Amino acid sequence: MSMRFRDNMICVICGLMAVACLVAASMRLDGIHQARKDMNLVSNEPLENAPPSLAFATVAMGAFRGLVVDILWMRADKLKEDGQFFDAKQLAEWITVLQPRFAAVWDFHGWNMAYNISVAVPNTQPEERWRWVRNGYELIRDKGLEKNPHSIILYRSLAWIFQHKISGVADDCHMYYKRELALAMRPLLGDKTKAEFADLAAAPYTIRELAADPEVAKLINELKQSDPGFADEGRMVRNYLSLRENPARFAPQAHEVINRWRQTPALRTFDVFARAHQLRNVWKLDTDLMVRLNERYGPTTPNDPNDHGPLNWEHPDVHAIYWAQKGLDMASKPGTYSIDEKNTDRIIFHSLQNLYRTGRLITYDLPDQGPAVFVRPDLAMFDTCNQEWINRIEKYEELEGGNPKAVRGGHRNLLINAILMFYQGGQQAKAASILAELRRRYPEENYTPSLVSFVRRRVAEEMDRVSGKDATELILMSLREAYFRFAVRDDNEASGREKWAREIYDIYQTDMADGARTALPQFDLIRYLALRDFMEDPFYPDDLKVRLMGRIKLDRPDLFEKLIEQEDVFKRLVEQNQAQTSGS
Amino acid sequence: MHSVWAVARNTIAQALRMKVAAVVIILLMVLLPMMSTILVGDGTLQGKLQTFVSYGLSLMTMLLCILTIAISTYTLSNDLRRKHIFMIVTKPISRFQIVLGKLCGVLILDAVLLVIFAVVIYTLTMFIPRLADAPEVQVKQAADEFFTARAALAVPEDKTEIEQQAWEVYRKLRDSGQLPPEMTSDRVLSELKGHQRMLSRSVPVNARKVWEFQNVRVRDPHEKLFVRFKYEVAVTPIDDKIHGVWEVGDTRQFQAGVGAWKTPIARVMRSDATRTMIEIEIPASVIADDGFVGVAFYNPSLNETTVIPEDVELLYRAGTFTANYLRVIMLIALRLVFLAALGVSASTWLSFPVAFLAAVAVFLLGMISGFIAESFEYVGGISGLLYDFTIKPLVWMLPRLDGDYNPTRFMVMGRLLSWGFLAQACAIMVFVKAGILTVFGIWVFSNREIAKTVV
Repeated sequence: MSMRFRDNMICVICGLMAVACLVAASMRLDGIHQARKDMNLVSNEPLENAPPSLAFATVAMGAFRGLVVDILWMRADKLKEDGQFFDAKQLAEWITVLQPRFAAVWDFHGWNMAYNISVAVPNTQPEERWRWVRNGYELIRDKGLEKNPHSIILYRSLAWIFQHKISGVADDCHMYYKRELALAMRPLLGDKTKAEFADLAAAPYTIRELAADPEVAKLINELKQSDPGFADEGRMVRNYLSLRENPARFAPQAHEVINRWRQTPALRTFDVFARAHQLRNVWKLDTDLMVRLNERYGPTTPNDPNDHGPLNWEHPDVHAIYWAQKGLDMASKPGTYSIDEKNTDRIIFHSLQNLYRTGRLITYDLPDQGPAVFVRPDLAMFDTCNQEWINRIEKYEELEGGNPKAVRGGHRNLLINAILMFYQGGQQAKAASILAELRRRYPEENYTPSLVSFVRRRVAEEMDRVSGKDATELILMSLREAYFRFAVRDDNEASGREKWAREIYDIYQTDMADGARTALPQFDLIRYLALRDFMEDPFYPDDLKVRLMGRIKLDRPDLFEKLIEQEDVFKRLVEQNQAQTSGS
Repeated sequence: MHSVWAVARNTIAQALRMKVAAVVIILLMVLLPMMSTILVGDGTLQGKLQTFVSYGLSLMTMLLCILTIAISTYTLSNDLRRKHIFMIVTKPISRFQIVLGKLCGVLILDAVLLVIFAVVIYTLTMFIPRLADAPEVQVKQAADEFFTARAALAVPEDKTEIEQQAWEVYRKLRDSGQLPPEMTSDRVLSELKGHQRMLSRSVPVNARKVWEFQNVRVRDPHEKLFVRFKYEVAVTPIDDKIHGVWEVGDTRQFQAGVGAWKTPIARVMRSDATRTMIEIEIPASVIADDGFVGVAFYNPSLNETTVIPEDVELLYRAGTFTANYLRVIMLIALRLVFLAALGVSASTWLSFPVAFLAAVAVFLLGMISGFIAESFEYVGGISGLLYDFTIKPLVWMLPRLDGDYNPTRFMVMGRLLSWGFLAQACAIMVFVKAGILTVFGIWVFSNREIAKTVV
């Protein structure tokens, strides 16, 4: 008995000591956590308000989470080495589930999919490539930023994918990406006016708020009854947008409802709500920020440089600007200017330049095919781009105390290039005002005050370096562009390009040609040759070429007659040449 | 035989009473169907199939291996610990029959479970295309690249030639006194061999390299061949793209004029990313009558860098998916046989926990055995000699469970697992390694004392 009592006492004492040790240890925990934070040993903050599945995945594994993550990373890397990408997306999702607060993980996987995996797909499969690029940016946008809303590297990476991968030209399928992005955004932007964007920003955020309007509520009820696809409010918006694009996918009653309510304010309100909903919830775009960016960076109107129109949200660089600006708003720290912020800032700047140089997306609908997309400069973006450049010079001087010589040199070249671009486009007044600004900002260069002599001098300098053959090529290029612009009904630009070609021709003939030996052929003949080049260029769709000929015949019959004449001249020249060659 | 079967039956009953068996069975029954719906891969039908088969087979293999180790280490050691063995050894049954009976029991259970879950995975795999509602293009791609068994031919590198060249360079360096003093001669040779290996695979600008494949036989002349490769480069181009001209066919005909060609030579010009596996589809009509196929790569001047096409293989359809799957299951069965033999053998002289841990350790090492073997290749000098006579035999005894012996890669990549390879794996893993372990276990059990005599 006494032995048993002794054993029991020992157990009780040990138990009490164990409890005491545990209590003492738990009292130390707070200090240990604080020390970890102070020494930056914590890379994963505890998740708050996370969905149960995510919380379970990150907590249940305990100490093994790191091991599991390592195994997943190793598998991802091994599969990548083997060129196997079937599991890449899944692994990226699992790794990011287990390490949701580690921004670099999202950054890596988004980049991996958008860049590495997409180029592993042959360029004969642009749809597949585009899918991987989308996988990449959607991972960062939809999931990475949700878990890491203050991580500037994620905003920068997202902006970079839009700027470099989609808007850039390094990828063989870049035109396909631009087209797909434009086509996806187009149905959501309405008539793309300032008022439209204001309406989008003011649109309610939920259907419940929307249904406060009795007329709209009535429309919603009719839609719900017309097709089962509209019964679920969660899918209603998506199905409505799908109905507008492709009515055949839904019951005829749904289309009848739309027809009945056409031109009514209620339908207009619902339509705006649906598009705003899609922009906010699918594209994760803040409509208020969109309006602010339009006001700050939008293209200017000719009459008022302070009046900014909406940006072209079909263009990838606008998305790059959005995400970069959002990153700076959410993640920049006041009083500091980190390297990440600088890089994000630069994305905005470079995207604005891109919008000036290639911001105009011309889509040409082809029968039985998807539309073709062409990119051209958007001269309306010049003022914004110019202003940002000036701001950058000032910021560089102020914040960094550096010598902005390189930046100023770039700005000077921008102005020179803009003068020629506006002149070619037939906007002499604007070109003259830019020249005035060039003279004011860079007086040391002594630029001539006369616009015409400035342009001619530039052309002459260019001609000085080229032969007759190159001059012909410059003229042909300008004329081909004129034909393209005429085909897509951009008559002002077409006229400007044609005049520009004529000017180059005149300058060369007057100042460069050394008699008949180096003189250029007749301008009319060169114009005909440019048409031949355009018609034989596989880059332009056949439908566009047919339209061009139709327009020339109808709208410029005099030109059409001249081209017919020159065709005969050309045939005779070819026959003469052949006769000479065979005779010799 | 009757005795062995009696012990086996007893072992099966014992295993089924173990909770671990029930857990494994339930886990697989629940997880496999769930995985077939949850796993989406890269969103394509083929990606979904590859992901499901990869994870499904891996999960089944892993769980069955753990179960095998658990049962095989438990059954005999438990009988010994609880003295149940006394009831057996007193009967007219020899010690080796007990060990064999235990082994057979574990193997029969493994076979039954393996067959059941293999059928489940196969059925789910065949149903996924019907349930996925994929576009026609994806269905065709899956049929061509997943539901198939493609034989892979590779041109082995000439190790003798490489070694000779490396030795030549080494001798020149040694004679001219240019050997780096801080490196051992083995290390220098190893580096030189690596360099020669790279040179033998490199294709400078405006040069061509040909790989020759023999005995290429396809079942259907309208089939396709695939040339698979990956580009490495000396200097990565800015756009990360390499231009290449591939000519596939009877390249011996290049000497004769085009008019004298009997079989066509396919010419493909393409640009591809570096460090990514690429496959080019070629019609099978390029195969010469004697089964010869040459694959020539030309590095055009566009690249401005030396290109190293790596892992060049010629793939052609040589079997069906179902037959290949059957062989893959047999390969998995081989590793279960080894593990069963290991577990039973270990339990003849170790207690259950120790035997279990040891068997699991061997299993885990087997998962990286290829890597271990390669790592020790670089050990030279006295350490190398020591390694050759001590550790190397032990490393050899490890089961090869990775690399070419990983069953999932055959299914995921649509690669043929040939009967010859399977027979070789069977011979080594079962007859040799498992045989050695079984014989060792029998010897230990036959000579160990089962009961202590207490006086």
